[in-house]
Amino acid sequence: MTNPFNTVSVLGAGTMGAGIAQATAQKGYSVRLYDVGPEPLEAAMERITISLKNGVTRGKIPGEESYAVEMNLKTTTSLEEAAQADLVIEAVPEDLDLKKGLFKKLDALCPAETLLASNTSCLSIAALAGVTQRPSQVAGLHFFNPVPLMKLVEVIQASQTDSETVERLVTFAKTLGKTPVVAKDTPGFIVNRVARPFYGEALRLLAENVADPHGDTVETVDGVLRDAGGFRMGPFELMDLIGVDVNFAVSQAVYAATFQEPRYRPHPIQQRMVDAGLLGRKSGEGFYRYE
Amino acid sequence: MSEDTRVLIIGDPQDPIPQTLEKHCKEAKCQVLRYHSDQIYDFHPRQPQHIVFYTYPVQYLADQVLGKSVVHPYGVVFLASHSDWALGKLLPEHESQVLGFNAFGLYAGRTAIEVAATLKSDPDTVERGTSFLTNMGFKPYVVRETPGFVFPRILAMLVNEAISALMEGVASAEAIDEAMRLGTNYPQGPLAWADQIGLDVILEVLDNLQAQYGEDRYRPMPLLTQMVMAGKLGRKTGEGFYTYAPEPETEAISPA
Repeated sequence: MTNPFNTVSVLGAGTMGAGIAQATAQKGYSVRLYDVGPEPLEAAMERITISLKNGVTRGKIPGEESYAVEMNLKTTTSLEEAAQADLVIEAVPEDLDLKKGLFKKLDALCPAETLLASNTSCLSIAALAGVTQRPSQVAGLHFFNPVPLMKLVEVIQASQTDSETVERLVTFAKTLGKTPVVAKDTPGFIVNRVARPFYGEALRLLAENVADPHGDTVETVDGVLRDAGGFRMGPFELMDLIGVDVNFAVSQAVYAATFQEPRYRPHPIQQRMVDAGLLGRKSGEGFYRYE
Repeated sequence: MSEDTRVLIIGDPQDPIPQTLEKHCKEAKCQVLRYHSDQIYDFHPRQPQHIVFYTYPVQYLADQVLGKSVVHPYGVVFLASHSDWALGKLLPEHESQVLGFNAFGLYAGRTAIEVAATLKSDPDTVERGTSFLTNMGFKPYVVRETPGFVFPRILAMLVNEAISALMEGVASAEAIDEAMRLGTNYPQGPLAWADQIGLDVILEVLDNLQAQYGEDRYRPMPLLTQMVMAGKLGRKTGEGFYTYAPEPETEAISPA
């Protein structure tokens, strides 16, 4: 498979941006990771170094791919420099106005043939394509956390996106060793939409205290889904891992984007937990306590 | 103790759930009787049964079949359900001895069983019922009698959402299933899972949730209802969201 691009830029050095930059550089693409200041970039490079070291030690990442990252991955704080690429993947925080502003700037800075992709998990690709003069070259490219391990990439086709753009991004995902699925530009795309009831119904079962008085509802629901359903993690463990706040933000985004479709209505328990700082593993307590 | 435990299993001979229950009970050396519901009218046990599993959807026959004192005074009656409610009401003579149970996990070879205590279930019944299941090698989880239990409710809603995405043309059935397996580590894609359990069963769970809560969020997608009406129920009818080759004949024709 020939690589559909030579140079790739990733905008935003958070968890997702760093993961995408690493996965792309591992496969030999020349990658630039951009952020507004040197601190997030240094932190990202540190995380990438640790990820590669662990990956190589556990035999999950070949030594030459780790070396490829050293050779191919550069950082920059200059958007003008980052714009000089065949593909630009945006992975900045999930704020539509922020992303629209960035796409507008990129459209002015990038060469005419550059494709623009967004790693958004639920915002409208049509809205991002709409602020550019190259809407047919804009698509969604949604990776999953942790990027170096998760196989799936959702390639999102907005109404403006042309089929050549979709095909090149599908090929690109394959060259990363990923499994691409093409999905229409709809709220939550596939995964973040279809998974909503996993959390939403679990939260309602918790509010109804279904296991009381025989047991703890959080543990019972997680236990049933693991032991009867075969899920690797129950909904409460998974929300704690993802971050209760992050999961709540996705619930709110899908609910808002569908103009309050009742199936997606977030639960007051989510709001209370975020208010109380019970965010899951990262804060030491969520639905469970962590040492 | 197992040798003295008399277990009656009433269920469809084709259904893997009564088969699995029988296997576990026999391995534990219980005295097991297994009947099809048609045969049960001729069933006149000399001794009452300690444990009764009724694995048909409970809305029909349970009261007629179990109304004639086949249950031991300290016995436990497990009524299979994925959607029903007020289970005790179905057996007024035994209401304190009734527990709901859902064993969808057994379809995939798992041993967890949800046990629902009704408002009328005696605490001793819950205790006896769960210890019995544990002794038989199952893993019981006790919940209150709640529409759709835990796993059937969440699974039916995942399936409904996947069907909604399919209807809207977000992606193909294969792409939706693959995305859920790879993007969030589900053991099966929801549409293939629906085919395994039966689209009619998924529809019953949703209809019941919608009726019980009176909420719009539980409304079944029109495509689900249409497929059930068209007899596309999944694996058991050879077609659902995917098509399945017919089961191999039990008596294979030997090559000449």
